[in-house]
Amino acid sequence: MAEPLLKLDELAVHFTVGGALRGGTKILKAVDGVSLDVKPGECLGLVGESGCGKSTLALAIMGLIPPTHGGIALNGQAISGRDRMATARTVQMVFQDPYASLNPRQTVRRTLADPLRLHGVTNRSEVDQRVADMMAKVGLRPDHADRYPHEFSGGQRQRIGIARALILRPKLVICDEPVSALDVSIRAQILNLLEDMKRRYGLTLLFIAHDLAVVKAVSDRIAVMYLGRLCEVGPTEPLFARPAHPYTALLLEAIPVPDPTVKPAANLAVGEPPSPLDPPSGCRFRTRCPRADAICAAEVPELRELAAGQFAACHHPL
Amino acid sequence: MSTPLLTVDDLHIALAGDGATYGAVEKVSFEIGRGEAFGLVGESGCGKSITALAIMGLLRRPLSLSGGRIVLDGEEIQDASAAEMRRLRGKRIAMIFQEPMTALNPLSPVGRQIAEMFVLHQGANWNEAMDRAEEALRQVRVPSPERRIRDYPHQLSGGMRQRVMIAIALACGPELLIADEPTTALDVTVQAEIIDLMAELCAAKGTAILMISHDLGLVANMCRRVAVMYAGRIVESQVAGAIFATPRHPYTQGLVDSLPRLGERSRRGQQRLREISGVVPSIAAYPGGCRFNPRCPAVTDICRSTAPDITPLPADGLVRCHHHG
Amino acid sequence: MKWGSNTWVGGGLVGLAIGVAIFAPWIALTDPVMDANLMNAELPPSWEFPFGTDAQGRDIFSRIVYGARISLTVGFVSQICNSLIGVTLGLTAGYWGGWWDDLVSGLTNLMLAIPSLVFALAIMAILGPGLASLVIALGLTSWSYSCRIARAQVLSLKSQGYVQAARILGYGDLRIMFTQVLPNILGPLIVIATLGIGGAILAEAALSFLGLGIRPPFPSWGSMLSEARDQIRAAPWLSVFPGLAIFFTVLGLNLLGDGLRDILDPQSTTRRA
Repeated sequence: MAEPLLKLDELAVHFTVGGALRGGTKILKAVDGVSLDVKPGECLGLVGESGCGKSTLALAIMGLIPPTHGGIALNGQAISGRDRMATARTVQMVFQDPYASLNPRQTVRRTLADPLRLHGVTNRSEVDQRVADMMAKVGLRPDHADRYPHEFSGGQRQRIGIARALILRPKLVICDEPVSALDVSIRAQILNLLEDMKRRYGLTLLFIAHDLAVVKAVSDRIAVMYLGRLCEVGPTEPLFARPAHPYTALLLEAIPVPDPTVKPAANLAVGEPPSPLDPPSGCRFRTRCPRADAICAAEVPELRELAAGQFAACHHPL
Repeated sequence: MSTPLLTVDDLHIALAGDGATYGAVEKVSFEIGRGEAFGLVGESGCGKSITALAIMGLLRRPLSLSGGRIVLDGEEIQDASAAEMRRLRGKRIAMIFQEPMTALNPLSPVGRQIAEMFVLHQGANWNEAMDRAEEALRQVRVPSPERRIRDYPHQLSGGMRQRVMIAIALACGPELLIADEPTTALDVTVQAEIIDLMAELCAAKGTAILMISHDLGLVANMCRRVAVMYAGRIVESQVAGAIFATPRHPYTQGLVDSLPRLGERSRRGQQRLREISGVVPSIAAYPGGCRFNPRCPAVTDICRSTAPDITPLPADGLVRCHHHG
Repeated sequence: MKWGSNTWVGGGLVGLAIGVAIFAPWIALTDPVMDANLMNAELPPSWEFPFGTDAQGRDIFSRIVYGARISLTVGFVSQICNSLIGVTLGLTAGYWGGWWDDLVSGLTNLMLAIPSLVFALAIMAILGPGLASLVIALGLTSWSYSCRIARAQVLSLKSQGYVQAARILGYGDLRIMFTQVLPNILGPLIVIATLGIGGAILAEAALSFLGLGIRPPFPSWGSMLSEARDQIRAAPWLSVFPGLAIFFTVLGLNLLGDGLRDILDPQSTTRRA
């Protein structure tokens, strides 16, 4: 069995909020005990609604936020021990907002060439060659390299962001909602591009999104997150066909199907997600779950394997 | 056939740029019947939001109405004075927006903001208005409304704020509710509930809805008829079922195809999503002839030179294409 | 890049002041210090003395021309000093946070609480009068403005995608601060700098007015105002011309600052939402 490329071990990221003047400090458990393996060459989709902690998780993996507990290991080596430069050559990230993720004062050429120079590629013509090459691969014209970000459209800027993420030839790329801010007709282009790049460079992807349909289109396996914990992890097809966790089922039901003959089902769950500052005891989903009972309030459910490769954290899985 | 509630006829909206005037919206025409849910779909920059603003009389420089008629219940309102439009807004036409945080006054409790509607448009006194505000919150399914009326917008979640917006909009029983991307900023589970709520309330009160969105799926489930806009023009308009089953315009077809669908087999890297190549043009650089021609898989010479006329379709539909399906 | 009228007018005025300062020996009619003829004391403006003469019979025009050197030197040098200190402290405080930020913020609050003129006076009391101590004193008193602005800007930019991307790509902290953050916060900092130069010139005028800045017989606009204070009614040209010189230079700097801010604004325009 291949060593997982990325291994998260009971990862927790807690923030302290408030203070003496604001009713006392509280702990915001943005990520609370996530254990996950990402196998080399796969695309793992991470889904959840806003406030579930998926973006915090991404930032922690990248080393931008220090984890409170737990371990992150890349290729078997703990991340905290590695130096920044080596990590940069292994893991990279594509950001959500194409308008804020590029330095408006830098040309595309500088955005792509500086990292190369920083990591030791000093030969000028080699740098230019790799920049032009990468631009062409992401579908941009290399002769636009000396333009500024504001001269490109949202979709094109996202392509530049992808080029920047790939220029150092990383093994793992974390995509944090890469198409949410784009027009509908551009999304397919960018998703296809990511797929092409994955195949061409043998990448492993961690694809974070709140849109299940988008995630389904690109992922081999899916992990569902709710209020800082994982609810369900499993291969894409079975998860969509037979979700084991009630929250997964709720997400699936809520997605508007573009077919007017299919009427949306009646509400499966009531209410809104509780505040992450004050999560429910035991299973965090129990306040909205039609199947909740006393055990759910008392004990935190662990991720258990229900079928081959399919895990769910639920006392009463579907 | 009763007269439609709203008729938009040959609407033109101009955008004044540095030294030049651009046609942001051209020849847009549609009708909404009493109590009908009508969807207007398109991507950012296609002009759907400014069409809504034009109906509300809220266009400001550099945008301006440069032609066409807007008829509300038999009365032309495109030339109405500011005072007349103020009387209409809130009372007969209401609008809700995408970002409830910026649409609600952060310094005023939500109950008061709802109550204002009753005081302004129906001459109620404040006590009575606050009671009715509490009732309005109950109708939009906000739990514990007697406590929520004193909350400020920042104390409520996104979904709650949008419910407050709906309560404000429907307070005086308007004939038409314009919803501009009301759920785009919300989570998917909350989205479903909000749409559900809007549909139910409007059906109960007989309010027509003009639902503006980029999400075809959302619009399909809610609206009886759907119009698709691209680069300032309506390119297709049909009954909801037909738009998905038999789209006639290549752009609509492209939108329908490029949606990652839950029902289909997972791609698992084998198949690609069908894309629409190219980018949405900016207002200053609309292509000549049919505006979709640089991206259209079925383009021919006539598409580049002549803008297509309207071809009527069954059930009051229309399509604007030289090669419609 | 748009050059609005602000930039032209402001740039013109500042350019004129700088030009006058540089070419003073060729523009001035007489030596501003030595050519004193008590017979010509306090004459009103005439062909021979375009701005009149002062109490020692020296040509005011020439003194203003040479005075430009002092006033502008004080203004620019002290502001460069202030900006360097302020931007460095603010940039690092905002980016690194923690105890350094607490320290810098505390220091900034302290500086803002002390009236700057009083602080400058205290420094000059230690260093003694003269041009050098004037420049040092003014250069140490108003860095808190640029520090505050730089820090606030950094805090808001820190979470921007491209700054996070730079960290992920392996950029070191200093490199990020100076290549990614600093170019994007220049706009307000330049405006503060131009306003600061104007402020320093006015402060020099005030200190000289109090007798602490430039000592006679050397001309500076401020000391000229100081010497003229008893004769504002009797010989108005003694104070009007130095006052106008200060006024137009500071006005020019303010307009230039406005214009530069517009030019340096990041060029991204409409967002597609």
